Amino acid sequence: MTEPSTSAQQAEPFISLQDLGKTYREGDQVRAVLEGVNATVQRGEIIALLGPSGSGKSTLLNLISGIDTPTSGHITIDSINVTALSERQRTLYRRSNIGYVFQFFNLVPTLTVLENLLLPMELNGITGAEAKDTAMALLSEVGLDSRAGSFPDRLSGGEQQRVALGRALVHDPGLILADEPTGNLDAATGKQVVTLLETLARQRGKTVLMATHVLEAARIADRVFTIQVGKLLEQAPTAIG
Amino acid sequence: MLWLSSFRYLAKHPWQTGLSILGVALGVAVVVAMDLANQSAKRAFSLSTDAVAGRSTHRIIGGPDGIANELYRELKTTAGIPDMAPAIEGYATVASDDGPSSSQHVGTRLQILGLDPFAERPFRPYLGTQNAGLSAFITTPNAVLMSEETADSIGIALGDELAISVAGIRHRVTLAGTIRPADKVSRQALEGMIIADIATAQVLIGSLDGISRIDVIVPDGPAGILAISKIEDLLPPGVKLERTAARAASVDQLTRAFEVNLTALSLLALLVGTFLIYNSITFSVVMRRNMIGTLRGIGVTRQQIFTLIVTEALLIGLVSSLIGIVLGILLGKGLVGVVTRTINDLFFVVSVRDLAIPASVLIKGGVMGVVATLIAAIGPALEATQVSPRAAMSRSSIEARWRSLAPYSAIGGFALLLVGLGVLVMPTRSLVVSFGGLLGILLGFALLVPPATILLLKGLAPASRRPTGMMASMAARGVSSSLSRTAVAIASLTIAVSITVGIGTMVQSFRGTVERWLDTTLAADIYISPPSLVSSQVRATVRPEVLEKLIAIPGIESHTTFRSVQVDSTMGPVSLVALDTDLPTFNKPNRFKQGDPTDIWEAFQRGDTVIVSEPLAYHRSLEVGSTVTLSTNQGDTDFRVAGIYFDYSSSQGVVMMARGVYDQFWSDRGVSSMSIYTAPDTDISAMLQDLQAAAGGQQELRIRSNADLREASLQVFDRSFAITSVMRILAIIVAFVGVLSALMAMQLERRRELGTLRALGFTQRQIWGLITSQTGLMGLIAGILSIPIGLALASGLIFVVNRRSFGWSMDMQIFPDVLLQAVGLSLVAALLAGVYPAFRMALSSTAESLREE
Repeated sequence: MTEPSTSAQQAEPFISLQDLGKTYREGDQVRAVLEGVNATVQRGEIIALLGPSGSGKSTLLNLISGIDTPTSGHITIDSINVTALSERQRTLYRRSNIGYVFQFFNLVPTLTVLENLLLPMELNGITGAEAKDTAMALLSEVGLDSRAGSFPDRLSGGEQQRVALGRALVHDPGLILADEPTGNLDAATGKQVVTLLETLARQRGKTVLMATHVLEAARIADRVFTIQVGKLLEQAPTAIG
Repeated sequence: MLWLSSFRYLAKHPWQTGLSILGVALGVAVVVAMDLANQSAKRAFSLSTDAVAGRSTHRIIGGPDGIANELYRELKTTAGIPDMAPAIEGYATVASDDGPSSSQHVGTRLQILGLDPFAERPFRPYLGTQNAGLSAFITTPNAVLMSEETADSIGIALGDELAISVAGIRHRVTLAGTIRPADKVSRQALEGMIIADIATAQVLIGSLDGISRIDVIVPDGPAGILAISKIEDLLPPGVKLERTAARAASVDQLTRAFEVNLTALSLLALLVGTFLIYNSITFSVVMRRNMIGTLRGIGVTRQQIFTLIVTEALLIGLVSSLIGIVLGILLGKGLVGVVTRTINDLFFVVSVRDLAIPASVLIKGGVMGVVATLIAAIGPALEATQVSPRAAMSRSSIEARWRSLAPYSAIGGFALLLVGLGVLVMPTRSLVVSFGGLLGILLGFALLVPPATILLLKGLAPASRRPTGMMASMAARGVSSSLSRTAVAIASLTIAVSITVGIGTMVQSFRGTVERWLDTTLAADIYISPPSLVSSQVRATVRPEVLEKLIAIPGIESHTTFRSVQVDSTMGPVSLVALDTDLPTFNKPNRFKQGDPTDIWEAFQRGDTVIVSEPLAYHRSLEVGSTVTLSTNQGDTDFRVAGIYFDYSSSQGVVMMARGVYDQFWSDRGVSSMSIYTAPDTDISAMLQDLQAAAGGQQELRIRSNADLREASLQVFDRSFAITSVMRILAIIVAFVGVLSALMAMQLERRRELGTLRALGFTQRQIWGLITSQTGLMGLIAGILSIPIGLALASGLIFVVNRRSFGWSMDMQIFPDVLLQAVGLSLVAALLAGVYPAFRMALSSTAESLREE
């Protein structure tokens, strides 16, 4: 925990989760992954979601990004009730307001590194020299401008995840969702990636929600939540050292 | 456990497995169906020939005049051969009547067989199974016998009268008895046959003082040799003794080229199916590289991996073949009608009511399906053994390897092309060798598809990027960067579509050539002939008294008569046409392929000269100056070939001579057909009515205007190629299933990538667009590449295969509509293949897609 949450509680929250629930049907059984989740996140905060595999961290990120829909409850982001949007509206909202970082990088294999960064901008109507300059500048920030023309599978895991960070930020979204960004990397590389994420996010004042099961990664967070039996619990700063 | 993993893989990809099975099954079905249809027509003809020939070992045949009744009597008494029976044959159709046969049977073809009941017993034992006494058969006027099945099929019962038409002349016959053969084969052989006493049959056929042939049973050994010698001594010139089997062999020869062509076409469908299975197995190996790497890592040998993949293929091949055999039988029932109609149009009368299903055809089809699948599996199985046990290669390494193989693929493709071309131009007339050459060319082109795809995409890349942004670029890149997956799919589609271009161009070019030939040949205003059961031959006779009335009608400026008969020659039986015409009619522009028209006309009038049609000249290697030996009433007579003329009415070929010459060598004075040139300003429709009225009541004749005959000729042409069109459509269906399976599997494999794009903000519509633009691009590439390949295939078919099959020369034309259809077909198939993956992506959860590794 880098900062206490007292000041954040006074301002209008950037993200608000109200009685959020998500269940899955498995044959005749209904399994609740999330139940009655309530939380608020202020603009510019970095939040870590801790929990073992299968606890529901990715599900929560998918709900916030609008990739998935909750079984109950509401999600408000920047005063917009995301749960009330249609599938298409959620897609368009995600396109311009959210940057996503995945555990397995998920770069588009048929596009070069530079093109992977140009893609979100093109989706948001930013093309030409302006887009290319922005993308190259960000690639330079993540230290991969020299690999702009390479295809993703020629890069190491750490390099691919740095490209993914660049792709998540290049169209200047307000919210970055990172789903186990170090899960497929060794400890040292994972640490570099998390540090880079913190630096880039704080420089730009981005809100970050990062799902991880690595305590070390959670140290960059302002606040840490854990998911236990479907409930979201905020940890005291001392809980993670 | 290895087998379990393999089985689970196949079960986990039901669409891919199912479509592979369907593709090969369709290929096998087409081969089996075509084989069954051919065999059924052949069997029906052979049964009917056997039924007519009975147990005779030899037959005595005459020329156009037939055999005089007296000769039979003389042979029977002088030669002392006891087992000898006269026969007369002809064809009839059920005519309209107010009797018991309903109008639905009008036009049903019947074969007339006239026999002498007293001489029959040793020849055709089924005659002893009739349920009416011999006396009723002989004494009832116009009595006929037929099998119970035939009587039932045309709806008449014992004692009923039936109206029939023979060469346009109506007769009424009475069913005096039905025949009930003990065995099924004899029953089938007698289908569509009416048997009459020889005197009745002579009246029906209009040959009162002649018979068609005399059947003979010659004993084995020295007695037989003596009998043959005795008979031959007594035969007048123009009449011959031949072995019964020899005639059947010559008829078999007639349809051989036709059958080989149909078989080759059906094999093309199987070839497309083989491409499909190759594609499918290659894809399954590519998708399982990681798993195969893991298996190798834990100690599975290369041999075991190879066996695993080949066994999977064997399983698919077996299931496909079984399904294909069942589908083939169903399809065969439909195709047998089309094949029979073409044989009836072009070669001889045959009536096929049942599909013969010999086990050998089914086994052959099944084995071909399994072997094709195994051949297709060898490449991918070897590829699978190369997977490193240490770590799975990165995707780009696999693709880089494929790209590096492209130049070798190009070299191999050119080499195969050259070999194929070499085989095609070899100085042989073998159709099997010709089709082998074409196969080499097709496979060569298939190997050229991957490098051509890379080049095409390189060319398209800048263009695709400018107007539509990254989407089009992503689609194009998706194709070129996944060559391991896309190349075979594009090659399969290209080959399948090029086959449709090749066949389409060939048929249209042929049609164009025939149209131009008809324009040249059909110069008269009106054409008259008796109805004929074989469209391309008119062997019946116009009654002399009718003929006289017809030519006496005012308004006729001139007329030409034709006598069309079959005569024996040193080359076997040939069609002979005797032409009674004048120089202006004879010397039509572009009529002759070889020889000067004026010289030919002068020679044609002399007694020792003929002209021959192009197919006959080709098949028998005849040139101007060659000699043709025909069996005439003056014995074997040599005729010099004065010219070779274009003729597309008969693939067997025709010898043509002046009527005066014909009359000199044969006593037949009949006329088979005539053409009429009217005086200027004659009202053709009024003239047609006048001609019809003149013939009315005495003989039903087909009296047609120039335009009507031209149209009817083209209809026969279109019918002849109906089976080719059916094959073309079947090849398209097989290709379509192949492409559907390949592209669908490819897109389904991209689920996670597409899930990522959805997470990045691609809308469902954009995902749909991306998938369909990629499959559409593949379709477009296949469509474009199929044009040159299709045209090369058409050249092979037109200039080599058709020439060797039928002896016809034809001009090749390029038809833009055929080419556009090909590109359209390819695009539509590919676009449709993208619909299901796009639909599935739209329905599936993005979260699920992202979770899948």
